[in-house]
Amino acid sequence: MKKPLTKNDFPVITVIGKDTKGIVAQISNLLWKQGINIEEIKQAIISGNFFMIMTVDMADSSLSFEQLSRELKKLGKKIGVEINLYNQEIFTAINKI
Amino acid sequence: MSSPSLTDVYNTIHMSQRDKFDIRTVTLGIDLLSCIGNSITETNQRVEKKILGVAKDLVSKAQKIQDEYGVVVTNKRLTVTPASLVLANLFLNDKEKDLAISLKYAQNLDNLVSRLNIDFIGGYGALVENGATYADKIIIESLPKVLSKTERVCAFVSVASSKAGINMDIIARMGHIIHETAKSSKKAIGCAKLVVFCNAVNDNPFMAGGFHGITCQDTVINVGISGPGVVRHTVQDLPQDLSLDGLANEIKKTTFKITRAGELIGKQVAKELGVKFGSVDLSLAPTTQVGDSVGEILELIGLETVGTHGTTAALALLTDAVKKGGIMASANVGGLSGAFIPVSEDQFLSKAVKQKCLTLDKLEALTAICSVGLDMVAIPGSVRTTTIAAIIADEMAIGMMNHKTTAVRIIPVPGKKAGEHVSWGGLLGGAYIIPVHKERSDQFIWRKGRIPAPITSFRN
Repeated sequence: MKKPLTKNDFPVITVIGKDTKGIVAQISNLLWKQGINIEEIKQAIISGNFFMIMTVDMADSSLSFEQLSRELKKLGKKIGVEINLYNQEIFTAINKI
Repeated sequence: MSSPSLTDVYNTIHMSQRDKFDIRTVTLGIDLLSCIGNSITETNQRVEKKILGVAKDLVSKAQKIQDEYGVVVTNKRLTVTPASLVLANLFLNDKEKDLAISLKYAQNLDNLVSRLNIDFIGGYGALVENGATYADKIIIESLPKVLSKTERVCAFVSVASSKAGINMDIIARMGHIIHETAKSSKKAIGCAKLVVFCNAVNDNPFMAGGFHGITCQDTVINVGISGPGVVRHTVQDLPQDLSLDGLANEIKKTTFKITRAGELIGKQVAKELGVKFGSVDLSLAPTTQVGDSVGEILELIGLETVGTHGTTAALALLTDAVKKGGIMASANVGGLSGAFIPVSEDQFLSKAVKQKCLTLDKLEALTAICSVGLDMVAIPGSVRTTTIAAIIADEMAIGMMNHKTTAVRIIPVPGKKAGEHVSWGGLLGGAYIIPVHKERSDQFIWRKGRIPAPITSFRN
């Protein structure tokens, strides 16, 4: 039985760095291996930096939020970009009236 | 689930990383009246059981929420029921024995928070606006020793309110107590852990004056957001010729965001601990960190040096804008909610004191419109106890007449003269010694008694 969805199940991955080819592929590969789907990707160049956000679906993953966060940070160090995982509530809380 | 926009995410991360936005404190308030036993030993054991039971995960849960939301929770603190209420029934009517009981109680609290890796516990104090009980007086007399023998215990005495007036008997005594506290601790640092209040609030999450008031529930999480850094960046990035009302509007929008973040973090920590969420304190609380200064914001508003003419008006604009933005953001605003001006903890205020541009009289004027009062004000060690009492009385009068909270955290540093510097290090920073008036207030203080409540309090 699928457990009820909460906002925690749709965290947001952020990537900041110089434009590096293969970022999306490497992150997608990590997520696919952990049973995590990508719901949406948005990207832009902001202040000369590559900035990307990926909303992912963790509902079916055995990884915890903390574990995924650690894996992504490790991957970020390897690729040379900053990757972080956030509970997306912080973005809506701050920016929506 | 709909995802946030790129700009929203970018701006949020920016606020956290560039502007060093943080939640200044997540404070867990705990009622200790239920821990009163038949002896100090039994009471201490019950206090230990309760505090360890409720607070053992505070630090780890705050860290978890910090990591999940990307917002740093700088301090995790505790507040408890005022000590004079917890200990009243344990006292033996023997001053020496009762002072020893008070110290045992304080040391137990100190020990507990040290074990939990929590940096301060507030609530060692008494509420004496209408008058002092025997227990209140013992707690007050115990302050110099307690504050020198403990590291993390913070103390307060509430001596005035708009309803009760000002207890000048106790204020006269506080002049002596503050002096003794200064002499009993290294570089008078004990005085940095003691606050005297008018119109104290029950849900203040900040130290040193925070306590868990008796009108509160059993346990509660209160949050103190800070954000001078974020507001500073907002003001700095705006055109220098933007009108003051335009500036106020931008500050409002900024504090809306930081209040929302603070409330979310507070609610999540409360949820993790299984505790109710109480309130968000909107106060802009500076630290010694570069870029984290309320004084700098005032200078960016257009003053050459904080303390000059225009400072009071600028602070009025800032404090009001902070409140308006914050109140729109949250239904649970409480605590002190204004701008702090702790002189030693704010680089720009400290510098202005050194330059003699910011004086005690100006600080007093500012407290009529900002939240806290004369905070972390270092004065010469030779200042008379009656002068200290009179400084406190002035501040209490401002609070009483304006129906607001005011407080005094004053530090007479033995051996130091006006203009010299004292350094405490860490969060407390360092301070330039501010001169006080040499003309005496002896006769005024020696009269003692009470300054009656103002006519504006008689609203029934």
